[in-house]
Amino acid sequence: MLKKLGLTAGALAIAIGGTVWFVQNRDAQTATASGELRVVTTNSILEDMVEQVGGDDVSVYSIVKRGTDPHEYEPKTADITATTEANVIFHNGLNLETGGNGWFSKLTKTANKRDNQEVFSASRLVEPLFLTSKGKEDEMDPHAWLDLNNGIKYVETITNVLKDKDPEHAQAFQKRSDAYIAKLRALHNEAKDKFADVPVEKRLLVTSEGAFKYFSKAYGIQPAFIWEINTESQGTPEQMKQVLAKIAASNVKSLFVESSVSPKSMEKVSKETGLPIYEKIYTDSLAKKGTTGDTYYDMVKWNIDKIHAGMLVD
Amino acid sequence: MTSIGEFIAALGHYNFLQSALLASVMVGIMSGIIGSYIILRGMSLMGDAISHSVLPGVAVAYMLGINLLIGASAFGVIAALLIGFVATNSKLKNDTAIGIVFSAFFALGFILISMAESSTNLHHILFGNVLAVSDRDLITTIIVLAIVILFIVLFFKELLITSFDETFAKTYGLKTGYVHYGLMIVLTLVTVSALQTVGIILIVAMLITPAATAFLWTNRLTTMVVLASALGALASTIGLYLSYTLNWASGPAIVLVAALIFLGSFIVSPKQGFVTKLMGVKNA
Repeated sequence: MLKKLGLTAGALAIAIGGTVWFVQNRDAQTATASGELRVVTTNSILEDMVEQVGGDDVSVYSIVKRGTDPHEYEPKTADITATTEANVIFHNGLNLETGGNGWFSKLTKTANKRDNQEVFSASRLVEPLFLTSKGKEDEMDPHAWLDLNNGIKYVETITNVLKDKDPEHAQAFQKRSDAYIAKLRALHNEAKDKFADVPVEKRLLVTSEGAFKYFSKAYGIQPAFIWEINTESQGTPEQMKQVLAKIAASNVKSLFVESSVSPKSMEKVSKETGLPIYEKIYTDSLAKKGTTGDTYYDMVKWNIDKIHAGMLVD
Repeated sequence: MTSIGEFIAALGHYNFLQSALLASVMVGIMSGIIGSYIILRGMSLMGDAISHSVLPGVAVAYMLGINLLIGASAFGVIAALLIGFVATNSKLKNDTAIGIVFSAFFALGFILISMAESSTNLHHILFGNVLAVSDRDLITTIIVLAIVILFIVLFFKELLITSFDETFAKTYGLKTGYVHYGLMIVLTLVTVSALQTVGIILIVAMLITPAATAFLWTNRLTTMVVLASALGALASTIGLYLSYTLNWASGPAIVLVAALIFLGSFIVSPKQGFVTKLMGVKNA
């Protein structure tokens, strides 16, 4: 019996020692093949921005698929291999990808990529807004891109990183970037004056998630939401009460629902208030390729047009 | 679909795949071992209950910043004690007591998780993700595997007797209670290790399916334990291969492979006699 125990203990000690040795001594893999710059982005909005600036000179892989929620995500095998092989990885930052136990930091750690070496936050130049819910005041609101002015800052950051990583194509990147930024700026200026014709008491934007803080601030409207940020507690009784009170205090005639969020809670609000859901708008994800709203520009333009039209309903 | 050769090449290339394979094989082995005792003792439902009951322990460990294993084991044992207490001190049957206690613990876990951190991911705990196993997780897992094997070797005789004839064990003077709760502690350790590969909801599959498959092939306990752990490791490897080539979620892939192995054994195993019975009918 003792002999058997000793043998087992010895074998196990060797197994543990072997594992520890293996973990400490295996080679960290690095990106191998040369060729065009391989870029990984966490979501479709960043994917589109990189494609606009990089054109055919880069290949882009986007992790969170269109129409799904980027707050919480489980990386699949293909995501990890793509990240391992990537030269540059862009994430939104501002706490967008910290859900799910910090899936993004786990992913970059698994893929052996370091911050500001290969991993860059696209929102680096943005001045963050903070959440307003009790107990969350020191958490940053991630949805900066919904304000075009911030989107332009994203594009600037992306351009600088790409130029840095691939100096050979720097001129091409800069040229595409300049043209793209000019287009975004024109839309931004148009949107700034757009909501002036909506009466103030109707300038309330009701959505499921409170994603429109940056948007509202930029274009002079008021945001209302059921929950402030996508987490496990969505549509609790308390949240419902608050949004209903806010709607009752205004003269708003339309509700909106986001493409990457289940419409159930908003349908409940619609039933409760008798107000119709006017249109689906985009927050965390672009539309499927080939449909309206499949680029960052189209998505923001769609949002601005539909929100404006919805507010003017009598 | 990628060939097996490509999978092996990727194994040499990607650290994450090496860690995933090591972790899931180790979890496959330890759950096969413990699972054999669980099904022999008629405690499959108990295995399910304990795996769900560790959820509040995981949440508390997050909050206090202590090791997950400690928090989870504490709650696993409390749940086992409570189930025993309710079953012995009421007219209710054991399965009813299990149903009440584990669902209450699971519910408590949900609430604690949402309080622990605004962005803690329940999905990750419920379904696991073997693709994000850290080096520290790997070392914890091998240590748990060592504890499991030592426990089995040390208490082989006690476990054998109490598993097959509890009344006899009692008259023989064995402290059946100690053996039971010792097994519960080891079970919670296995559960927490398996959290990372298949997650809370599917752990019970890893505990029961390979062991049940082994049960179809042998009547000897030692053979069954070895066979169950080999099947657990095999299911983990094939599941991970499918997860890699087809981009499936890793946990469900492993569980499905284990179930398919069971199905195959169910049909052809001589002990089950499904095929022989069919042929017997034809002959008659």
